[in-house]
Amino acid sequence: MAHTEETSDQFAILPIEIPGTSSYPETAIHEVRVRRNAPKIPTANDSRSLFLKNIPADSTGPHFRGVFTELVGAGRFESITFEDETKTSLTIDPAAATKVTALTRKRKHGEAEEEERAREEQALQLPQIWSRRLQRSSSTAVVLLADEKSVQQVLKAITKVHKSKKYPSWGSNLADEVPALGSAWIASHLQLSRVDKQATQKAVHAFFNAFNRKEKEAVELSKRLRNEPDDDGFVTVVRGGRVAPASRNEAEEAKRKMYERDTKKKSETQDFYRFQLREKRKAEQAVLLSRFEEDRRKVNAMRQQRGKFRPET
Amino acid sequence: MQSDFKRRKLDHSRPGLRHDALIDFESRSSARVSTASTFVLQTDELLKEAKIDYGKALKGVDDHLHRLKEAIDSAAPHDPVPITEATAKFEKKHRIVIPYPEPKPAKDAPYKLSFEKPAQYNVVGSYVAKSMVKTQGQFGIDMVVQMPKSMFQDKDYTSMRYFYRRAYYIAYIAAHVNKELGASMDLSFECLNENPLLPILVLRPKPEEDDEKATDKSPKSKSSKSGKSSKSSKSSKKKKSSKLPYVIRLIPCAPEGLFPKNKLLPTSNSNRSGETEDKKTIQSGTPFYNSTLKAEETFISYLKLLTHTKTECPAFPDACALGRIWLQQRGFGSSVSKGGFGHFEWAAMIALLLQTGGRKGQAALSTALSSTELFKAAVQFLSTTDFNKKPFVFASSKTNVDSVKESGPVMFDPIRELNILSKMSPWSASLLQTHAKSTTDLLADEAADKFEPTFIIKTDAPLQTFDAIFEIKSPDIAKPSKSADRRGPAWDFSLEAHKILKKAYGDRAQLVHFQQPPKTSWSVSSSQSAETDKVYFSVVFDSTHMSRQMEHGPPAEEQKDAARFRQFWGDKAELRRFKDGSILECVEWSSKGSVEICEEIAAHALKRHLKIVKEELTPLGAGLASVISLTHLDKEAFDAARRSFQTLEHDIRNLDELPLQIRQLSAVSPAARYASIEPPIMGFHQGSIQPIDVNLYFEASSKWPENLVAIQEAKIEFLLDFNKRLTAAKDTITTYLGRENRDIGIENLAYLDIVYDNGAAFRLRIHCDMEQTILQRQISNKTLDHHVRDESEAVLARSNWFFTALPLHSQTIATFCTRLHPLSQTIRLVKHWFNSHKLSSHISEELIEIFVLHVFLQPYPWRTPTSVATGFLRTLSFLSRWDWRDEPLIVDSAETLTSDDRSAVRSSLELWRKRDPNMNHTVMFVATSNAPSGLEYTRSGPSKLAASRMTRLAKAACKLLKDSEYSLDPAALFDTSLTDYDVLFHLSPKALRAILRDAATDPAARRVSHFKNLDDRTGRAPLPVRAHPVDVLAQELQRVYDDTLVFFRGGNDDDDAVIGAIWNPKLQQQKFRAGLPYNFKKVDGDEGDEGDAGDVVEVNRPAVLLEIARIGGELIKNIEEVE
Repeated sequence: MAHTEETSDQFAILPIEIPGTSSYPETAIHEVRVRRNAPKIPTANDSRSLFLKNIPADSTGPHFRGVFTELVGAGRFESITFEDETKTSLTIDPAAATKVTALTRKRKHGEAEEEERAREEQALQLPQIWSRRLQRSSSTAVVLLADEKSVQQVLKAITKVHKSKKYPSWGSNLADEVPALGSAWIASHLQLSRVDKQATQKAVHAFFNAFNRKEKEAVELSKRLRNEPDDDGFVTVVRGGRVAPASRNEAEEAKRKMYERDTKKKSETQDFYRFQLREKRKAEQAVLLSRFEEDRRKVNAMRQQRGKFRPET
Repeated sequence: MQSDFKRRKLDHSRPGLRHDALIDFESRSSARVSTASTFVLQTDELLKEAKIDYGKALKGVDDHLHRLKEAIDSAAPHDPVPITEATAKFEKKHRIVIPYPEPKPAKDAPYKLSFEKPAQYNVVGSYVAKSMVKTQGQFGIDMVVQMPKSMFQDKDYTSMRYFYRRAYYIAYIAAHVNKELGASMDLSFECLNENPLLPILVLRPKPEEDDEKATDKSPKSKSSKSGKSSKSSKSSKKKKSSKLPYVIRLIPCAPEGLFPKNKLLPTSNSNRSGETEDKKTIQSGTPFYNSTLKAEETFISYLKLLTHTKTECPAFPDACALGRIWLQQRGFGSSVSKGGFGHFEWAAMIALLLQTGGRKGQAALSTALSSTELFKAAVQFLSTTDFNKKPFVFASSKTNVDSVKESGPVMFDPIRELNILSKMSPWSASLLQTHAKSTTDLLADEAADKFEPTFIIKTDAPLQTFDAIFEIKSPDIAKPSKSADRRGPAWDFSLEAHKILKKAYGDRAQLVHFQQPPKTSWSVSSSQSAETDKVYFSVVFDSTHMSRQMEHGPPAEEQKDAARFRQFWGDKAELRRFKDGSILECVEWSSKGSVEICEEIAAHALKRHLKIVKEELTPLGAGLASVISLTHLDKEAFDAARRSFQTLEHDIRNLDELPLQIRQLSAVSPAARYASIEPPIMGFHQGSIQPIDVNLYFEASSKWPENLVAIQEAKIEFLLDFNKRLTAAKDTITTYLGRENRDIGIENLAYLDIVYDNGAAFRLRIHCDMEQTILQRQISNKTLDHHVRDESEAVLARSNWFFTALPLHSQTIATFCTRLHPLSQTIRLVKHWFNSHKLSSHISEELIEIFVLHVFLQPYPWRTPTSVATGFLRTLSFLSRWDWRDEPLIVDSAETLTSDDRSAVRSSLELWRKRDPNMNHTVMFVATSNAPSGLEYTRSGPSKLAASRMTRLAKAACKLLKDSEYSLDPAALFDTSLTDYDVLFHLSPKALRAILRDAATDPAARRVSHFKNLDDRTGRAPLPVRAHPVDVLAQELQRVYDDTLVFFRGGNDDDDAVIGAIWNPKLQQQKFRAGLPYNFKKVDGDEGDEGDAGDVVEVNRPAVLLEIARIGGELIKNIEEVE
């Protein structure tokens, strides 16, 4: 408990005034919690970024740009990263590749290679189906500000806002920076869901280009590993040799078959000796007895619940 | 030698173990032993619960009986006086109207009336037998007073003379008891078992004086105990006055052997008074009159029989109590309006079966049987014996069956020469047999829970039992009847109408049942109230025949039959020539639905034969078919949808050189299994198309990549391939590639909408069996991350559901919908019920289908529903009764579940409840033959909140049903209250329509026309959309506010544009932590004390609602917070 208090101390409350709408004509104060960003794995930009908790569900970059502009003036706000955008990328490597790369040491990627990867990833993205994504209620975001000084200024401004009661307002002066929600948003989503066939085809092809390349690389890598001793002089044993590598499915199938054969063999030697029959009978009797006990337990349980034995009137 | 020895030893071991004889281990059904024992244990418990404590509940009864006896004894006898004079004098003196049965004695009747002291007093019935149960409506203590033989003449059995004397006798006693005990008891008259011939005196002790009087009198009464009443005296006067009301019924009876029995055979006419005298030629028998007369002298004899049986067979009283409960739950009782088969008839039947009834005059049942076995045997007996068709005679060898034949049901006791079922009508006998059959089926059904339907569930609600109910209100019913049998006018009318309707319906109806209005007691100082002019009749359909529009009669060549047919149907009958060349008499009905045809037939037949005009016949019942306009055309629409699916399958299978072989195509939408609320409509009549989901399965192949994401991408590739091939092969097909609402991941990404130019639309998804293997591997891979494994598990469950369970489910439902006629419409109506109560977002359509299927497959205590109305109402009753906390629902549609499977489901339920007592995860357990684990159907809900709301709503509906006896306003069942929610989101239908229009058009192809009425949509087919806009909005809201709000909504009809929501009840004020999953604000009050506990937060409700208002935009018209 002490731990949470400690963190809660660091959070400052940033109140945002939310204007009413025609369907709910009341204004409300939304409280966003703000603190210096201190992730478990530090990054270079930590000192000039802020961690936000409990952001509104319809948050976008322009929304927060507006808020921070009201707080500390223009030019301080650089960018914002929402919770759902920081998700780790998918494992789209072929099964063989994941296995093999685990065996080798992590290769350092060069700049160019990194760029290549990003481009590839971009290409295999399917066409977007939402004009704008909603954040889950009370989710988090990290705001990147211009410099360290701005962080302090923002925190200071927040305390000032509490005194002056002049809260920054939400969604003002947005103009056409963000796509509208509401019916236009849903209609556009439904239209976008009927995806363009060509674009999709292209993305799928891009995906498989990358996928196949990786697979090939993996095969090559494993071939190399088979032959090369590592630093300590050991040679890694990997599946596949002179013959083509067996598919994992086939291996499983074979295992299942073996298991089946075993059980069949076992079952054939049952009910053969008299002691087996006797034991079987005993077991059956025991089952019956236990079932009777269970019944009695059930009836007792029913008795506990009143009214189970009273005919309805 | 050695082998010989061994064999002998084996032989010896058998009798030593002895279990072979007791339980057959080899049998597959050895589990039956165990279920049977549950039933026995439960009935034991029931008997314990039901037995009343005589000392407590019926204290002071004996005392009252003694005082009563003294009072009657003190009545002064008087000599014969002519009847007119005696009546006039008596009525004037005592202000008591003598309850003469109709018709009243003629003024010039020559015979004289007298009063003599009773020859014998006796207490009979269930009070002495100690077989009363707690739940019976009223405790009646029957005391018979035997009129002395000297009062009667030989000829008194004719012309109602016995009954006049009897009425005078009881009135005379009433006068004296009133004088003596009028202060402590209320007196009234009643008809014994509502038999109009038998008025009796009913005494109800007044509660206040009960106590002191009882203590006063106790020493005196001790001395005067006599006969049977002393035997039963277990008097206790120390306890507090009881709440249970009881009445003492004083019944005059005849001495044994008063009248010769051969004069009172059912065929003889003993009642020549009244109108029959005019027409001497028609001299039909008066079986009812005769039986009533004969029964008058059998009270003591039956008492002896029952007491004897009780000593012979120790389980007899318990079997009687069970029978009483069973009958009572089905609305049966001794009185005429309750069917005329009550506790006494049950007891007498078992007693007689214990003595005779078997082969060669031996006992049919053994006295060694236990109470449950006796009960089962009795029900079995009732279910197999049709008393209407052939009179049943105990020890049949001695009596000639024909001599006891009557038009009604007969169960003849040869010793007392009495038809025990004389109070029963043909229809109540049929109903009883139906109930008995249902119970026998239940007791034979291994899978079903036997106890509750047999004894606990009340099954007498007419709306749940009958498919159609009508009321006949006509002055004819109240008119004194011409029949000499003295059944009363309502009964006579019903008999006639029953005969006609039975014939009119033929095989369309399983049962035609009449309900006569019950007779109540009346005060001694007034005469009996007039007969009512109303009877109800109800019909149980034969669902396959009732909807038949044509009634086929005999061929024209058979003139006699044809004439009879014409005579019966009147001008409706016509001669028609059919396709096969036959020329038949027939009647065509203009209505289409079964209920309407039933109405039309009833109206026509009653008008033709009984002159019941339209205004006198009112159809009652629930009128449920009108709620969602179920018509006979719907089936055709569903069939058309299924045919169009076959076309698609044909088209896809005919594609050449597919890279993989197609194994199977299955349609999985409700529309493809006769189960969607709206029948599928072909063509582009609405602004949108609803495609039918189709799953495509390839033969197993090793060509798929071994990576889940890659598989999804490969599926898109396949879909695009199909798109090319299909459009190339058929120019009537348009296709659209659609995206699921998901990012690239391990789950299905896309589907292909295939639209035929005739309007049939399908949504094709591909299944790859490799997925399951890989997911399974990931789940069992311990080296993987925790959340990866969880996600894999969830995805596997979803994919198993959609690609494995759902096709089987669709297949099952579609099969049963074609087999069980009313199932499809019932499912649709029940879905509408869930929709209108905004529960369909929580309870999936498939789950609802399983509920209804269960009601059809295990209909106990009824039989399989034969119409939408009964199916629907029984489903509600099932929902109200199902205790999902403790019981799994097991629907064994394919009859493949063994008892081991069942107990596995039960124990897994127990396990889950132990692990998760608050039911945060799995609330309902629903196992079927296809999904035996019990979790498949309910993985995605309902939550405990929604499930208990469902139960509550069903309970309320059942209560409404119980309160409204014969007719029910269906709107009341479907009306939902909006006050139960915290927040209401009113959607704007206009905005909704606009979205639908926008979504169904291609933004790229937009063109502007000069003419206002020719916009870009004119003449174009709408495009398929992924989901309904409200679904999209609701899904997004659900995703965003999963922990904050619980949303409730119904279907997507325009008129139901309100989403209800309640704040998650778990959200209390709590300390701030960084991981809180809801939109919060600091609680104001804590600003003052800045202590450690300072940072307390709660849900920021206005901010949340404003967020939703912004998300919904113009789609949400208004957000209303309910107080």
